[in-house]
Amino acid sequence: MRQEKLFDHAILWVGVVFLLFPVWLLFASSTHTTETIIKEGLQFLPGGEGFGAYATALTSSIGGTEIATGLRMTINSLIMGIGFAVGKIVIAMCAAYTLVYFRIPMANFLFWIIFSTLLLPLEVRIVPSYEVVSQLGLLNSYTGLILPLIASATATFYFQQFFKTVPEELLEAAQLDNANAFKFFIDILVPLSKTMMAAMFIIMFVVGWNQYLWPIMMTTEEAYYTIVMGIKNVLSVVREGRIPEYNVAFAMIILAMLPPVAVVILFQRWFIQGLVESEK
Amino acid sequence: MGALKLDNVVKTYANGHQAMKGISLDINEGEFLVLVGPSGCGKSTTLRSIAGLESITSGEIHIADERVDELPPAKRDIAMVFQNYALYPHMTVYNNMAYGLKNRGYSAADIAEKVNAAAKMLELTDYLQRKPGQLSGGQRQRVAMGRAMVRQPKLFLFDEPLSNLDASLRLQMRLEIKRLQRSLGTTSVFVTHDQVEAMTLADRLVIMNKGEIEQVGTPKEVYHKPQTTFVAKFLGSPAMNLLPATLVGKNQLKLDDGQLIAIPDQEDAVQDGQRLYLGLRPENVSLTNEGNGLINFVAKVSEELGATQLLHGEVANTPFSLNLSQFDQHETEHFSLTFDPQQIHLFDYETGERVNA
Amino acid sequence: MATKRVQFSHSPIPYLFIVPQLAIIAVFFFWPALQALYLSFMLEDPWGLSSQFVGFENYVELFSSSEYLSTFAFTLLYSSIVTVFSLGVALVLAVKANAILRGQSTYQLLLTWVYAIAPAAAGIMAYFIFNRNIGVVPEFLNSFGWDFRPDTNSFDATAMVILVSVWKQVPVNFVFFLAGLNSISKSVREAAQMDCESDSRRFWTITFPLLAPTAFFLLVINITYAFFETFGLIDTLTQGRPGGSTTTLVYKVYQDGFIGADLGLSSAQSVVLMLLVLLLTFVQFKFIERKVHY
Repeated sequence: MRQEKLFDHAILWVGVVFLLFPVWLLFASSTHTTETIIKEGLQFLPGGEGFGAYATALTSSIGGTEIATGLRMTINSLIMGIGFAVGKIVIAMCAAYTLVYFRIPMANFLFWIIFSTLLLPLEVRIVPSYEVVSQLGLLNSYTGLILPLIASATATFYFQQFFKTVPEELLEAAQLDNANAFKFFIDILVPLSKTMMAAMFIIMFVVGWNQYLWPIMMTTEEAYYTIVMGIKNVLSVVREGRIPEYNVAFAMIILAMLPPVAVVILFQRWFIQGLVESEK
Repeated sequence: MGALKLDNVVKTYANGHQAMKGISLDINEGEFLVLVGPSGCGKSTTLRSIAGLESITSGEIHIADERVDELPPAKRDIAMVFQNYALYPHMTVYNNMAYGLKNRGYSAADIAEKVNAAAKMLELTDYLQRKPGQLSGGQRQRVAMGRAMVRQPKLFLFDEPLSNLDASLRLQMRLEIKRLQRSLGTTSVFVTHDQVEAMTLADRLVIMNKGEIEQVGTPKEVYHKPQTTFVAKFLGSPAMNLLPATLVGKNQLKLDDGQLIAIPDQEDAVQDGQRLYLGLRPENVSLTNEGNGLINFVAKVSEELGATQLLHGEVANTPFSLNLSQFDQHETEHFSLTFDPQQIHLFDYETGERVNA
Repeated sequence: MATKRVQFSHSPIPYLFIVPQLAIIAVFFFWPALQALYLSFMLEDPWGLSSQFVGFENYVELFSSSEYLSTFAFTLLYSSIVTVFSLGVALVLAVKANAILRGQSTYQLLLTWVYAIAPAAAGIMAYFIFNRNIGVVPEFLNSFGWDFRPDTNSFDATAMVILVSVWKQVPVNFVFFLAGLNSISKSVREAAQMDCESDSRRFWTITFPLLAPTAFFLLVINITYAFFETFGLIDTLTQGRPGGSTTTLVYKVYQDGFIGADLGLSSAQSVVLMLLVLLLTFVQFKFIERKVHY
């Protein structure tokens, strides 16, 4: 009995180390000097340089002009992550509200129109999407970065499912209390959905922050670089045969991972709920 | 020789909570034993310890003279019927019943014979190829019974198996369980929080409270001679009335509002001036018309039950209920009560232990 | 479609509320999707000035291109290996995490945070770890006599991309498997404990069949992941090298359409991908209809 348990824990720890190891390696190396890394390779233990590389990463850029500093790209990523999450939740809740609570003409048709977007990920229609956005003059803008990503109904589907579980008596009671459709939405449905909104926000923030392909296509001006795509520049430095400042590059990669990882760890319960619900 | 024996079994959880504080029980071959008590009293833990689903902290469990408390559940030769049936949702009714036999290496012909016999007994023959999801609650309950029966174990364990059924089905299944147990003669331990279920099914009842056994006895014994105030209040509806009182001399009780009540002579176990509870079952008390009644009662509310009537009120500022076969509306709220002196229960005020014979 | 029995009527609100969603999907979903379909039948001149209808010519060209066919083959191979390994590893971890009584939530935390890392960030990280100059993996493999050269050897590159893709995907599968295991009723497991002594037999006869719906659902999720979401990982780790041997279908759409600017050919590829996704969805629905009802 006892030994079996130890074995279980051992296997789990192998998994934990497998997942943690690469990130730890990069983090430990980011606290060494570039010279050490060139001479001795990646480091398993933290070095004596502290977080100096992180300060440099925030105030400078890799491979580009000095516009796309780590800080600037982090801010862009935050705008992208939060804008995407908030936009998606607001639009999804409104649409789901209509679908569940109103009898409108062609409701069935609208339902299928909206949910057919679940079928095709952005990656499939990436080139024509680029054409459309460029025709609308939205290249190099936050709007162009965020809006096309919102055009999939995952969150709508999720809120529609949730609204259907809200007891009908609530609407009846609200109607007896003389609440109109708008008031019911704001005063009853939104407060009821708080946990769901939080869970959705966590997932959507992570998804938005981690976008890569779309920002690569959309942004040619460095002022709009997000950090996840911006760190790619370090590769062009390497491929040109130059040696980058490894510690700063690693710090930048860690910075690109940090906010979504922190959100997932801090809001673990909501994250799990959001993940399980949103993929269903 | 006992079919099942628990010897001073203690279960302490990691958080320090003691679910069983030294439970000892001796159950006879073929007996139907019911564990009853409020939630959290340790009855389920006791059952699960017998099953081997919980490990025990100390003590011993023997089934048919074999010590089993270190054995895994599958080695104890027991079968269990769960509250939510716990049928395997991906298997047909047939396979649900056959699964335990297959794992014990029975031949296919043997299995078919046993399963078909059980199915016939439980009227499940037409449903053998269905999955649990396609059955009604009562049918699922039967499959769960069948799964326990086919193995012909030494011991049946029932964990509140009727609490998910509606009232009429519960009554029907109650009778059926009793009938099956009688005809199979398998020793059974049944856990419930429902006192009617407990009273009707049990050969012997075990009333538990806070991890300890309050009383063991036949339904008649525990109802008519409850050994503690807990048992007295737990069985019977409405519950037994308990009036705080002081013994005066050998044969008089003084209630807290000063009225004196005559009772039969008490033995030396009880002393003059001792604080007691006087226990009177609602159906053992009646109203008298003469003003020379023994107890002053103030009526507040009456409830019509059809066959009888409940009358709720107060005696000496303590809530008191009567169950009357006949009651005519009166102008007054004040009544006098009389009772059968053989049907009184006296408990020590401090310990709650019974003091009269 | 199920709606509420009680509803509001005679209000402009429903239209106000649903318009933003409809507008966005019209402009950013249906327009591009239809555009892709339209362009897949067109041939643009090299300067992008005029185009003409060419029927299925783009598709014919596509499927007669050995490069495209090998990309197709690689994508299928890659996605099946990634799916099998990431499901397998996650299942083992979830079963172990489910078996222990205390500390389950700690393990869940330690085994899920990698979900939050962008595939692109994972790719860059892996690039350095597998780098021959500073990385630790080549050195480690060399000590076993494996001359690891992902930039020139396509087997090495494929193994590397698969490993990193599995690493990134294990957490999602773990979360769902653990949720699936936790949803198996405790008493069913206890009933099985009384019916069957052997742990492994109990796993394969009770636990695994009850997890099958979760596993199937994850199968679809994982294939979708390997097809579409690994773009960033491949773009940072190998860019399809060496010689296009780690190029997936999505990566090729991007290469041909955006970098190569051959709109017709790229659109035809998009349409092929759409059909694949539709096929996958169809299989999924069929399966759910048939199997998941217990």
